[in-house]
Amino acid sequence: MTPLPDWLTSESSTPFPPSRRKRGRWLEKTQRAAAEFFHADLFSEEFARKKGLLQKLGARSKIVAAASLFVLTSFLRGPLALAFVLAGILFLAMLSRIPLKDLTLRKGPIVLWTGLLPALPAMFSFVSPGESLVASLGITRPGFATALLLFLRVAASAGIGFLLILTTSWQDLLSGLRGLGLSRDIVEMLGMMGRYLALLVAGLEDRLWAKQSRTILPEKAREARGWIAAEIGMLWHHAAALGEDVFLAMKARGYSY
Amino acid sequence: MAPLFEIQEASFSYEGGIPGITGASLAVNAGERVAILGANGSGKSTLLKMMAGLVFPQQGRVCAFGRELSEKAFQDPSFRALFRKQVGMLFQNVEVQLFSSAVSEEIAFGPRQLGLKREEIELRINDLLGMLRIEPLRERSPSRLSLGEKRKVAIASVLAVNPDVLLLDEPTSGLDPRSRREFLEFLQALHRAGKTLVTATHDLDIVPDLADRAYVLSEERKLVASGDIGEILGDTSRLRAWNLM
Repeated sequence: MTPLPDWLTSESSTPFPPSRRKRGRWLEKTQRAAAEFFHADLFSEEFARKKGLLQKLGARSKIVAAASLFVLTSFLRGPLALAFVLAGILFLAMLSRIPLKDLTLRKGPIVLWTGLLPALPAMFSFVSPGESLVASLGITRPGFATALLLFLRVAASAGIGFLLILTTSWQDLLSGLRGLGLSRDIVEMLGMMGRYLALLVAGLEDRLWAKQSRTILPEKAREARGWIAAEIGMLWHHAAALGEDVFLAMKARGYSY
Repeated sequence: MAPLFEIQEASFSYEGGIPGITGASLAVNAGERVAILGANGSGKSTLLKMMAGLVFPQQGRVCAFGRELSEKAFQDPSFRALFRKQVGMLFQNVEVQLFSSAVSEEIAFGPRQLGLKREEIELRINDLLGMLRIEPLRERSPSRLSLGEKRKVAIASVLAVNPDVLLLDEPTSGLDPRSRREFLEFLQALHRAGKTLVTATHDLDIVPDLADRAYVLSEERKLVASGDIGEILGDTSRLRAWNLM
């Protein structure tokens, strides 16, 4: 075997540039929240097993109620009405023994990302011209109202979705969809999608840990963005490879299309 | 002398109450070779992740370099940098460990953070590629390599910052016999050079080459035994009970 080089056998005294920069943990937290959603919420059934109000209802009725609420939410135009729906969601969560802290703090980052980001551009005059609200930033009053409405709609819809998923086991959810007349093929596809999505997310979580273990100095935002971009590419590549393997495994078991 | 790592009654569960490890206590001294043995799902990887400061116990404590490992400790940039520089981890699923676009970039990731000069980084890349006999992979994308090649690139990327401690999770899984032999010799050479090796595995064949002492985890994710490697491997009835043979 080639002998070890001097730098590897010497005392580990390599200096590193001191840094007082705090770590930008928003990215990590959001990724963790997404990973937890799959591990802890969708598949662990921690809350679905509790004896709360929504847990007592059948999956079919919950799916129908959630779908109706989704439609209702998309037609509501007043922020107050949407805020009322949000309050109702929190109240139902309480009655279903889901800790409010869990629903707000842990799911909050996901809602913020999915709700706030798409809504942000609507605040500015180049998208929503009108009476100025914060002139220096180019935020207009109608723009702010639109963004708020959009955000509240996303938050309410996400809340309804979380309630349904948290209080129903994945199996019951799929059976409920089947009971509502959805074809067996589609339900099976959904089941597989959930299963493999969880696998990919678990992989992403591991990658985050691995990256963390090799990160000596806090990353610059640009580096973090670069990593995320590379991860998206990698995830795409893995998803395609996994899809191909699953399809071949199905074919090997007699699946024909 | 205080142990390098000291774990006291540490328990950890993943989100959703999925158990990781229950009430584990162990100590690792500088320059030691220690194995953590256990069947699949016994909590070996969780224990290593705790030692690597990636997850933190909900009960008990984990100390390294005389300081308790906690989220708060890692918010201190100097401790974080010192710890990440000194402790390298090789993950069981090496796939997750490689994120750069080329093997050379992967190896350079750590040294760049140390602020090393370009020539020094090049030297380290060349040395590691040569030692692990993977020079032809230099500009290849890590995602396109075989499992054995990925494992070699992963260890090269960990070693590039010259850590004092190596946490190895099933380090030889997926390696062909020759690569496995060479890899074990390589790890032995690193130990002779003073590195502390902590290896989590259920492959008893590699244990005598990689450890002098062992801790055993049961399938209930509890630490059930510890001792010299000869003593542990000699007790076949207990090895069967622990589902290790």
